[in-house]
Amino acid sequence: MNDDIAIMTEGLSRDFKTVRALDNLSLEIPRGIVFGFLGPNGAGKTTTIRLLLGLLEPSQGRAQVLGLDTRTQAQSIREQTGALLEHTGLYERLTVEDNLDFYGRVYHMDAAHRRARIQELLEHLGLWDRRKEPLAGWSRGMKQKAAVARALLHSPRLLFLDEPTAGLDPVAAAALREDLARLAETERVTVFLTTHNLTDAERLCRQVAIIRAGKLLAQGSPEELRKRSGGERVEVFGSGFTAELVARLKSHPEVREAELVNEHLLVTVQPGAQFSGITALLVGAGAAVEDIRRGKTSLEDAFLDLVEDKD
Amino acid sequence: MIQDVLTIVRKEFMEILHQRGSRRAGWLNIVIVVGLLGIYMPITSGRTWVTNPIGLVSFAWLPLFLVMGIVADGFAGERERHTLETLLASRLSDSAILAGKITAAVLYAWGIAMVSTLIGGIVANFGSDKAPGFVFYPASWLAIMASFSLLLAILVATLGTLVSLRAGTVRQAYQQLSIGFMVLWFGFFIGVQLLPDTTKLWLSSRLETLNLVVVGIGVFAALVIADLALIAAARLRFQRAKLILD
Repeated sequence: MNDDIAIMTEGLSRDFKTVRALDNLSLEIPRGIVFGFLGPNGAGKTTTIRLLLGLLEPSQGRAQVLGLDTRTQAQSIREQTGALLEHTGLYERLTVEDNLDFYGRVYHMDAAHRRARIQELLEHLGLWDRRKEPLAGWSRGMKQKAAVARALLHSPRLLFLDEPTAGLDPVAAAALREDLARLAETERVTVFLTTHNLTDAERLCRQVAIIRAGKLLAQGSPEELRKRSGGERVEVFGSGFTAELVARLKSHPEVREAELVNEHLLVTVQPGAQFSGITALLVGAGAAVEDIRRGKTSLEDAFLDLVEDKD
Repeated sequence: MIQDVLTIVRKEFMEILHQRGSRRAGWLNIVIVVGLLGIYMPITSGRTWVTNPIGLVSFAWLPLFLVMGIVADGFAGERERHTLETLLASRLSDSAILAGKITAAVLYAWGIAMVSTLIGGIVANFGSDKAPGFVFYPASWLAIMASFSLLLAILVATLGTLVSLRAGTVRQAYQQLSIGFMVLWFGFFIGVQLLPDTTKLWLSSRLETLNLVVVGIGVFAALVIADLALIAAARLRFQRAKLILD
């Protein structure tokens, strides 16, 4: 495998009894990027992470992580990766310092390096002053920060992060996004991120993949996916927008979708469409158009288009 | 491997000590057990505690009861508190995790039993029967007690680990273990009671003529074989995929 590829899967599938949780997933993720793995609940994201960490064996296909086979070299993979999974995985009877000290020992960090790294991470995340408190009394956001610190502790080459900003306040979430972007850019750490927060993914990920019911629907940069989803969102403000008018708009060749939202029209037009014809249709039908705002399709729109297309 | 096992043992001890909310409460718990079994009982019994084998026989069984609570928490507790998957996603090998969990439970239970025994041997001299001189357990008794309780602790810890590997909660693991031991314990006595009188008499006469050294060696050999078999079974049953999906 090319050294510039962090993760490669070929026809990776996993069955649980009669249910196919992951179906023929083929991915190639370059090193040193933040990769967003997006999908609705039960899409197969967690199963994919478990397969890539060698915690589960694939039913079919194969995967390589950092050039190592997930079936035969799982322990070597786990040595070089850090993971924040579905749960924080912290020992809540213990303090954050004890938790990090334990995982530092697990990764054979020497005492001086371990202490320095724990202090560096806890200070950076604003948890240093509370390092002696048991985690049981902490808020969800603080525990999430502590879990991020644990995943980063041994400076892994590849990070698996399952919903890392869940429970974080907006300031902490923004700080984490910055940290992850910096890690990828300056230290060539690859970040495999699953999230429901598509704004996060759009801001942070150089590449994203969308899966649903175990099947890969699309992969590319957020920009490519937005373009692929096609269309442009246009909001029309004014009055006289009736259900009949919305129905006429929907049948217009340049309109992909139209709906009435809070007394204004939300129209998705075909790529490259000229809106003048649509405006003429609206005015001709007796509507009073006061303002037209054109906007780019967001990753969320692209995601919803892809996911709903398959329904 | 040894470094990894010690890392797990250290973490397990910290968790055991913090079971009651703080490290101080954890130590207090241990001090109460040692105080009751290693100081109060020997001091009230006086020198007979060390000159009569009953004291050592009772300490030999102590790890059985101490180890159950610890070992039930081993994997079922990690699963219940959602820490198991993160532990399994670390670089630790299957053997290191398993050996660390079993070693921690054995050291905790056997350690308390041995400390209580040794302290008891000393404080028994300060009991009500203030005879001159210092007496202590005969070395051979002490060695037999130490080995027997160690083998018993390993047996219960490994058996408990097998149960804990599949139990969904700590309570479920503890209940399964407790019921299992109760069935074995009471089943033995009830079974003996149900034997015909002629069989009981025959057994009794056989027991009187048995060579105790041979019986002792047989018991030790059986315990060693059972320990090794259970460790091998636990090793086979420890499968990351099953632990995550169970």
